[in-house]
Amino acid sequence: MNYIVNIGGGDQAVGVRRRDDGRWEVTHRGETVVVDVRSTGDLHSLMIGAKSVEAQGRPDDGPWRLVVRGRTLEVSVESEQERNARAVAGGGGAAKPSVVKASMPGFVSKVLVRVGDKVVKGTPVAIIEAMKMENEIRAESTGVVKEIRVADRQTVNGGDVLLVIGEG
Amino acid sequence: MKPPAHPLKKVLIANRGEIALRVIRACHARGIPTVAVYSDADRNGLHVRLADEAVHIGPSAPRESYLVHEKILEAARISGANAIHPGYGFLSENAAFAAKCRDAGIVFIGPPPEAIRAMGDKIQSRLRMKAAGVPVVPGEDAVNEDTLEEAATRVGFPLMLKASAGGGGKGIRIVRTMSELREAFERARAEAEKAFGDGTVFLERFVEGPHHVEVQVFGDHHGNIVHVFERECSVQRRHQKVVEESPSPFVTPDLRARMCEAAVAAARAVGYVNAGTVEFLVDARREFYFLEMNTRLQVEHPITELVTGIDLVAEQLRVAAGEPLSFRQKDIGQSGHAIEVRVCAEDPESGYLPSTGVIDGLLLPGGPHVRLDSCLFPGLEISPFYDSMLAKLCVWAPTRDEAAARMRQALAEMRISGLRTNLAFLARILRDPEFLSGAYDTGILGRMAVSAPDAETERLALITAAVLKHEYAESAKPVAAEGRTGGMDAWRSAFRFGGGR
Repeated sequence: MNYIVNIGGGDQAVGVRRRDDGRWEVTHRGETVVVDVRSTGDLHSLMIGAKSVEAQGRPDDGPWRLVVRGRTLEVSVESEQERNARAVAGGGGAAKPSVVKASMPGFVSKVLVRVGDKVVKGTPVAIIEAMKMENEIRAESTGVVKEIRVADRQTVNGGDVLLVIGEG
Repeated sequence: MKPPAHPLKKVLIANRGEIALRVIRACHARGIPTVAVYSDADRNGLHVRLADEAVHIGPSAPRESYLVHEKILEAARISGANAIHPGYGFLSENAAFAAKCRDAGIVFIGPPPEAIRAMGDKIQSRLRMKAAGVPVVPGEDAVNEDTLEEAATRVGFPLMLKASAGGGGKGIRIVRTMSELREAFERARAEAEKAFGDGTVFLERFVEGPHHVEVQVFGDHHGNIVHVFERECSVQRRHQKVVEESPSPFVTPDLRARMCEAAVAAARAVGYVNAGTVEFLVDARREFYFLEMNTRLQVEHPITELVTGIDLVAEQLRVAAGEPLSFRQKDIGQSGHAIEVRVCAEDPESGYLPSTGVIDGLLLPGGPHVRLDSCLFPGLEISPFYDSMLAKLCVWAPTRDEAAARMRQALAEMRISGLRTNLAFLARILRDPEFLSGAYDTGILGRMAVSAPDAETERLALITAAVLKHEYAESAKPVAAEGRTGGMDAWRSAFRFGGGR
């Protein structure tokens, strides 16, 4: 399987193939190395050739966080199939309504916007209290607040949808 | 030798997390039995497991458990504890609670309520310090909705809004312009009301580029008050300390002598007994100002222990029992260099948002002169109810450079899975040229740049990312739908792989 990997410096192709012994053959820039992975939770020990690499992260469809040798990197990984499917769908397609989710469990101390308010990416939309701190939750897209699904003083779980942002 | 006036027969620890363990260890080392208290969320906590007894004190929210005076006192009564150690936070700086302990014939392992009260009100303590000849930051007394703008104009911008009952960075706001003032005031007041049950807020001039340096003091019931030298605490986020070190690389011998003398004067002015910390701001010209006194054991006390060899919690127990301090000022000095980092369940890449979850993987550092004060174990659930600090990692070495190198190694060894932590961020601080130079102030984290990884790290990261993505896609197939949305448990069950199968 070929992957397109981006860690901030442009797309790079990486080929990954499972060997019979459970290890991997990985090809990058014309060089092939054998890779062995052991994982506990999201902690990974990799042998990349003779290099011992400690890594932490959970792969996701969008950009995800990977810590390699103590460096935090934002990575995107797409298989060639995924890339092609996305191209067929039309380069990402029309903007869909996006949701703002609670990034942690806690208590909604205040919703800062009302339905109909215009927000831009980064606008604070709610304050959630958790671990003794008030934490600002910010819009991750630009648009108009279409729906608010929580009330002040409500308890929320991490991942709960707080509000929906759509096109004006 | 005369027996102590108030021998500690059994100590109840009115706290949780790593500090409860710290106190349990100190008690057990002296042969004193311990009683833990716990809320619903903390039944599985290490402090419950390691104490001799444990008493359930109610629901998870602190104001229904750890902050309820009567529940703590009742737990002491039913367990027969004759002393209470409050740790830090919670009831540690609550004068009313300390007074109730005294009335109930229970030793409060901390200062007398009068000293807590004198220092707990930041507005009053500023006035007392001025009277004792200790320099304070210029500022205004309590402000309300009506006097806010006027007072701010007098102090001038930028200024700090602070909770009078505050501490630990809660209820503090920096305000740079008049237009930000009112909203910041309301937020500070709400946070102060929530955290301390007192929404009184005051203004203080914002000292630009300040260093945050504090002096450990200790008093006993025999009239002795000593200092135990300083800690540099300028590496802060959201006004909360992240990295501390001792000695301070910024403080000169002359400044040290003057600050330590002022700290002892501050403690003496309020009749201080037991462990306390006098916090100072030091500006770029090395002028220092009294900030506040923390009338309790500090989070960062271990670095003082590492450079002085004094066990501060053991000393607290001695003093609470009525014994004199085990050392005199002339007996103690600073040796070598110690650094502490606070390992927190938070995401520095997203505005330090707290993170919760179940610890499902844990690797701990070790080696000479590495000390870990932690409450972590695999399976522990980190709930949203309490502070995000999970562990304190401390190292000692003969020199600052060696201590920093030792800390980098210890951080490289430590890993926590199951939630987001600041470990990689802490490692970045320990590589930061400004931090390593020793010439840094409280603005350091704002200036810290992210350096790009070198070519080899990038190559290894690319390969790692591709392999993990493939592994994940392969293992997730049977439960792909749930794996995306079902949270960590579904994810974990979908993510069992490894070259060895």
